[in-house]
Amino acid sequence: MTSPRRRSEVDAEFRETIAQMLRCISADGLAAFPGWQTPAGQSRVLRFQPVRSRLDQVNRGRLFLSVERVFVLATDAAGRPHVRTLSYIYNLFDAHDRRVLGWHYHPEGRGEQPIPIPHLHVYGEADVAGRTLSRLHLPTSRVELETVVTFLIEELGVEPREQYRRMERGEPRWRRILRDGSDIIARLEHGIA
Amino acid sequence: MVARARKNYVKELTPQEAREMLEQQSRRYLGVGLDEFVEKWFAGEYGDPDDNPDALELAVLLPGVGIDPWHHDKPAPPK
Repeated sequence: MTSPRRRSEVDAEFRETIAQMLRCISADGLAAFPGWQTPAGQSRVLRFQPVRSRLDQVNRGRLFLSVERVFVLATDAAGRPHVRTLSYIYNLFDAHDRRVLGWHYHPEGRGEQPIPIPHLHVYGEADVAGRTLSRLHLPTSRVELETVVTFLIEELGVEPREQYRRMERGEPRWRRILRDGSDIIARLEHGIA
Repeated sequence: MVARARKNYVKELTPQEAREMLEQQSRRYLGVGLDEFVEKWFAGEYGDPDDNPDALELAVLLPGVGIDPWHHDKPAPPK
């Protein structure tokens, strides 16, 4: 039987790890609140500010990011708690608050044809075989937040905050935080204490 | 050795604070109050969420006010 404390430890470690990775690029905090009761347990919601968070680019440009993640603390047959992600939405906006990219996983969806797979939206008006690009659900594997943060820094020139740019053991601190965070999340999702 | 997250960077919101956050988001990005948004969402007024991603983004957070955005039991229409 799992003690309530252990579940709360898993919950706290998961959300603090997500928050720590986001702090590499923004001082905005993460909010957590309880969600609805699912068959697997009480869901939890993580939200990165109600107003989109501003990211500064090296070239003095700016982008905005919103992050939402809903998860549940499930328990395996051995009674070990682990994190199960129910949905995520990571959206990127340009300096004029226009959508640019959206990494989505919301398998239940709504309407006649929910999209059960993780997908990417590219918000452009290009025509792709008669469909507008922004309406296509470009299939992806599950996209972890740390890979998005890495992409923002390395490809889009988002500047890590000053204390995370410092070199430690031959690499910038942000890189180690994202790598460790990735390992922690993988462990928590597989119930490895 | 993997470092453990020890900081306290996450603010735990009360249900009331969560509702206020969603209310703020609804008014800012959709121009309606949260209750009105919920009504419209379940009435299908936002149509395909791909046509209105602001609505999808808010709907995914409805668990924060105790609503399952995908399986809401709509009241049966009057006969």
